[in-house]
Amino acid sequence: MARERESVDVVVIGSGAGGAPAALTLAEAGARVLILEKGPYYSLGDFTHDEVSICRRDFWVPWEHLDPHTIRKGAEPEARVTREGWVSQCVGGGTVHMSGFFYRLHAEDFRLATLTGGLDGAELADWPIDLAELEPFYDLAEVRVGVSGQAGLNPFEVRKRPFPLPPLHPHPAAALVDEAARGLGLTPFPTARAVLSRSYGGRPPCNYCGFCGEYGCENGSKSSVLASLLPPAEASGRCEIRAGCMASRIEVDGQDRVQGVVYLDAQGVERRVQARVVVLAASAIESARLLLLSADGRHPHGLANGTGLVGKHLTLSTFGKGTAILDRAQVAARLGADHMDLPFLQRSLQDDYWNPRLGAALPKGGTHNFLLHHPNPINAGVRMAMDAKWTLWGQPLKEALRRYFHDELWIEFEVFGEFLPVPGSFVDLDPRAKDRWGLPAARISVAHHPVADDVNRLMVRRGLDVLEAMQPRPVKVYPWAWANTTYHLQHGTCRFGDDPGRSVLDRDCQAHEVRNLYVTDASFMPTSGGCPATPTILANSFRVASKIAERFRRGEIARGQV
Amino acid sequence: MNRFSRRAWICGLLGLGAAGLWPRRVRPQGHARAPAPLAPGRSPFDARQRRALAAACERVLPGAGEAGVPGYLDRQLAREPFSRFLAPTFGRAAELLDSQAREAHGQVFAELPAEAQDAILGRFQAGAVQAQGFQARPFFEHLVRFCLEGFLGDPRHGGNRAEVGWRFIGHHPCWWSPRRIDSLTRRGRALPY
Repeated sequence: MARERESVDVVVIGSGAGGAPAALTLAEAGARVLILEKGPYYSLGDFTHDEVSICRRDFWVPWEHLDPHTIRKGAEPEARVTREGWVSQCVGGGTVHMSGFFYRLHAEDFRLATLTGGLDGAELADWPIDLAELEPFYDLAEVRVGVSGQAGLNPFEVRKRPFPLPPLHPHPAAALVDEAARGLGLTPFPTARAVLSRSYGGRPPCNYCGFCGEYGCENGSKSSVLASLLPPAEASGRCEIRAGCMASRIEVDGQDRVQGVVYLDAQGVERRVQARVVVLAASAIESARLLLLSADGRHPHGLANGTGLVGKHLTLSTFGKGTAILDRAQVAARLGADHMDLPFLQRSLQDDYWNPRLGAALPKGGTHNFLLHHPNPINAGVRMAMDAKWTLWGQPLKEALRRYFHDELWIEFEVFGEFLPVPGSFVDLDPRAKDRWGLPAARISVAHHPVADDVNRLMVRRGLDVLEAMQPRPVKVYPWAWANTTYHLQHGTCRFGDDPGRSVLDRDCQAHEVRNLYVTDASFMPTSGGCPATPTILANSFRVASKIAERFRRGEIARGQV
Repeated sequence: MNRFSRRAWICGLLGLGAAGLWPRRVRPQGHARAPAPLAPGRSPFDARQRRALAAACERVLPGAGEAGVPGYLDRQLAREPFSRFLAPTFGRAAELLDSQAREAHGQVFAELPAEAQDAILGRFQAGAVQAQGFQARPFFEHLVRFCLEGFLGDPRHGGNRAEVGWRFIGHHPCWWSPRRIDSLTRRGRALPY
C-alpha cells in the first residue's frame, strides 16, 4: 500500500457533465485540481464509426463480469447482474457518447410537491432553489460547451438570451412533423443540440455524419466536456486528469471535514491524495455507492448518511418510443429530393410538459423528441428482427434491410418524462456482487409509480397521433416502447435541500454532514424533470463551483500546504 | 470527385485539424485491413462444428459466406468474454444442428438442401429444440446478431469482406455526410423556420 503525501486543493471524482464544469471553474479560479476518472482517456482518433467496437462491445461500459451492477425490478425478489445503470466510463463521461439533445428544466420542475399538493405513493420534494437561480448558469454552460438552437420558438421554455450558435440544418421531413403537430394544436420547436453548427472556440462545425448518439465525435464538433471543457481546464496548468483511477473511499478528519480520497490507480495500486475539497460526480448511482463504500467506525452507514438517505429517492426517466415508416419516394415527391440525406430531424414538443388537460392524475409529463432512426446498420437489422420477434431472418431479413436503406424513411419520437420518486427505487450495496477490485457493486432497485406510467402512455399516444397525421401518410405507425425506463438518465440519490433531516446535500450541494464534500452529478436533483438532465447537471456544476471558488476567495477554505 | 476519394480527402483534413486541436496522439482514421484468419487451435470450434455454423449463417443471412461471416463468428467467439460465455453454446448448437439433420434426413446439416436447413433453424427460432442445459431461442437471437455484425460491421473485424454489406445497403459508415452539405453551410441558405 503506497503511503504518498500528495496533496491538492480539489479532487474531482468523475470527469463527465458533473465533474468537468467544477474542475474547469476551480482551476480557472486558481485552485490546483486533480480529476480521478475510472475509465480511459480517449482522443479524437479513437472515435471511429466502427459500430461493432464502439456500440456493441465494451468501449463505453466494461463487461458486467468485470464491473457489475445488479438490478431488481418491481417485485422481483432477487437482484441479478446487469450492465444497466452505467452512464459510461471514460474521460468526459456520458457527454462523449450523448446525442446532445439539450433542454432546460421548466419552472414547474422546481416546485412539484407544492404544485401537485403531493401524490399518494410518491416522495415528491420541492427544490431549495428556483429556475431564476439556475438560469444564468444554463446560459454559461451553453456558452462554454457550445449549443446550437433557435430561441423564442419554444413557448414553454424560460430563457432570456439567445443560443450561442444558430440551429443545425434539419432534414426536410421536419416540415412534415411541424405540419402534423400544428394541425393537432401543438407547438413544435427546433431541438437545441450540443453540436456546433459553426466553428466555435477552435472546434470545427458539424459535418452532419449523423453518428452522434452512441459514438464519440471524431470531428470535435459534439460539445462533450471532453471536447469543450476539459482542454481549457488542462491548459490552465492547474488541472490534471488521471484516467484509469477508481476512487474507492473518501476520507474525513475528526471534525467531519473532508480530508482526501483513496483510489486504485491504473495498475490497481492503492493510493491516497489529500484535498481541501472533494467534488463527487461519478453518476447518481456510483456517487451514492462511493459514499456507502466510505463507511468507517464513526460513519457505519456510509459518509454523509446519518439520515440513511444516501441512495434513496433514485429517479430515472420514464421512456417511450414510437415509429413511423414512410415511403422515401413519396416524401421526396412532396418535399423535393434535396437534402434527403441530412441526419437530424431536430423537432421537439413540450406541450405535455405541464398539461392539466393531459387526462392523468398528474399534469406533469415531459418532452417528445422527434428524430430519424439512427444510421447504425447492424442496429437497424437487429431492431427489425427483434420487432418481428425474431421470425424475420434469411432472404426476408435481407430484403427488409434493402428496403430500410433504399425505400423507407423512419421517423421516430422518444418520450422523456417525470420518473416519480417512490420508496421502491433506491441504490444500496449488493451483498454478493463485487467489481474487479473486489468492492461491492451497486444494487439498483426500481419501482414505477403507476401514475408516471399512465402519463407516459398518454404521451406515447400523443406522439403516435402526430406521426399518423403526417402527409404523406406513413406506411406504418407503431408504438415501440411505453411505460418504460431509461437507465442512462439517473438522479436523486443525494437530494439537496434546506432541511438536514430530509436531504443529503445543502442548497450549494455540499454534504450537510461533511464539510467541503460536494456532489455535482444529478444525485442532487429531488425530482427528475421531464427531459434529459445533462444541461442541468452542467449548469448546476458551474453554479456549485462558483460557490466553492467564492469560499476559496474569502479564505474559508485554506489553500496551499496541507 | 467520387464518394471514396472525397472521403479520403476529408479524413486527411480531419486528421490535420484534430492534430492541431488535440495535444494527445491521434491514430490514423479509416479502416485497417481484415485480420488474418485464426491460427489452428485458436478456434473455439472443430471443423465439423464450423461447417454446420457456416451453413446456418448462410441461411440466416444469404450472402454471409461471401461476406466472410463464418470467419467473423469464429474470431469473435475466440475472444473474451464470448469465448467463455457464448462459445460453448454455439459449439453445442452446432452439434444439435447436425443431430437434428441426421435424425430427420440422415445427413449433416451442411449437406441438406436449403428448405430442410430452414426448417431446422425455424425450430431453433421457435425454441422447439430441447437439450439439457441448452436454450435454443437465445442461441438463435445471438446467431442473427452475429450474422448482421459480420455482414454490416467494419471489415477490420474480418467480416463484410470487400465491404460487400455496405455496398448492398448503399451506405458507407466512414463518411455518411450528406453530399450536398456545402450548399447549405456555405451559402447560409434560409432555414425552413
